[in-house]
Amino acid sequence: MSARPPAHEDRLAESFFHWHEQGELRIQRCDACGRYLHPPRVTCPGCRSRSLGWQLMSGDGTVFSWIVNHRAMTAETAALGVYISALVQLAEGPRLLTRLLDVDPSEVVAGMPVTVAFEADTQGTLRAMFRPGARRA
Amino acid sequence: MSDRDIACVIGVGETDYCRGDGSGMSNLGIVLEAARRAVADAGVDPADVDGVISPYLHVTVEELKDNLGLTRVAFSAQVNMGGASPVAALQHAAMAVTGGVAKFVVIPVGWNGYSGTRARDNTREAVTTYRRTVRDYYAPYGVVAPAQVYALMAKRHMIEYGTPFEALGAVAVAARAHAQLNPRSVMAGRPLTMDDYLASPWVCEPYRMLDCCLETDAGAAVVVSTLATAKQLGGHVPVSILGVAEGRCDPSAELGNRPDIFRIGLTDAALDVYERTGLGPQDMDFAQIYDCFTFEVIQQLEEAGFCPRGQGADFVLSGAIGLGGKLPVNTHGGLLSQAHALGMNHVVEAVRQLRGEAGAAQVAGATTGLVTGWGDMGDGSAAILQRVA
Repeated sequence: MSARPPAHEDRLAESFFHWHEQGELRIQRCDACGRYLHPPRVTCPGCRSRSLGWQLMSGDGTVFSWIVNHRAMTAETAALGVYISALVQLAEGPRLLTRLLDVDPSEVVAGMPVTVAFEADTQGTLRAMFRPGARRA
Repeated sequence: MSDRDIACVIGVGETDYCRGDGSGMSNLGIVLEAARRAVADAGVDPADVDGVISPYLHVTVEELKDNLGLTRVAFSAQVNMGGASPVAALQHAAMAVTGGVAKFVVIPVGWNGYSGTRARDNTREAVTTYRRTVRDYYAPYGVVAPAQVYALMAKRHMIEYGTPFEALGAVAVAARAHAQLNPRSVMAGRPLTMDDYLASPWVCEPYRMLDCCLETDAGAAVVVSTLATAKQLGGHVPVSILGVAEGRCDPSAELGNRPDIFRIGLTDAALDVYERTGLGPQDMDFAQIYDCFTFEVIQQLEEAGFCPRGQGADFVLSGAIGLGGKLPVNTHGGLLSQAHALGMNHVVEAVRQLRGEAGAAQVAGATTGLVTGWGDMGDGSAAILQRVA
């Protein structure tokens, strides 16, 4: 399922995140060759097609890499205390920089199954984040 | 090849690197001071400098021309690869002077990285692709500083290859040891042990505070001309720019979705620069490796072919990177322990080594060395410099 409209280049990030407000994680995909593109683009670098849509993800993934943030870099991140940022490999292949929720840093391991949850960021905007466990038991 | 076909670094300059009260200069002031010192070191009248490569941020060619007193700018460029820019700029300068477009090209960089804008604040002015990616896709998840971005790569290396914290520490300790030999380093007089490193507080695990480069007010510059002109001037021993190359990642804008997360711009740049010069890693008497963070040194040593991928930890733990080792690395102290002059201090140090002017940190008999640059999500550059016999 490929949703419209394709993003305008100045609004690619906005297009990517607006699905999150609706409880959907979508990754840009080339209609012509099927290649996933993240971050989103205006042209597929593989086949040069400009017909790019937004493919719904299952929300399942595994932890590819992660960092435990101890030191606040900005006033906004200070409100989070110690938090985990991670690269999650989605079941469909693309990777997403995100946050891991509800897990102790000492319990995170590479390859750990995680599932998407739409939670408010420090600005109150809903973003795709991840919790341990597979969504479908 | 005639002497007109060989580009050389004929002048180097650095500002007085500092933290504390800061430079007392503007960003422009720092860049100008570095440029003036390099031009003076070259023994050239500023009015004769006719080529300018401006820094990728803060200062323009026009400002440089109007303040330095250049009479004519026949060649100008700006190289936008973040910290990989200074080394990559050597290629532009070399082409300009050997192509006869300009006689003297000055390449100055600098910033008040301590008293002015800190790197962690750099998403406010999202003027580069790196900054836009961080602003748009990383910052919403609490990742804003380069330390956080690159720690994700370091962690993955630890997962795949078992790279221990002590390997990162070995890079920090070696840099600090070299800085003790360099009166121009801000960490002179402050030695560091592995225990100190391991006791350093977390910033973003796996990176501790001592994995991170310094925040300093620092500027550095070089002047490039041909060997023919260098011989006419009769100044310092000329240092030839044997070859330069640059490379970018795929995709370049974001690191999470690379098919091979460890393939960086330097992976290609190193292959190219070895091919262009006919030399290889085994021919290098030293390497000045862009050290924004400790792991990036390990990764670049691997990608530049000094050891196989995954064996960088063993390489640095063997003592190879210390003065007297197989491949002395960052003999000036680097960004970790000298100052953050955006990697131009690495070029300056390479030139000093090849002139035989590196003082207590001199690599005995050094004739050939590699300098690398790293920037903006993994852009890379590499240059091989050689003392002219």
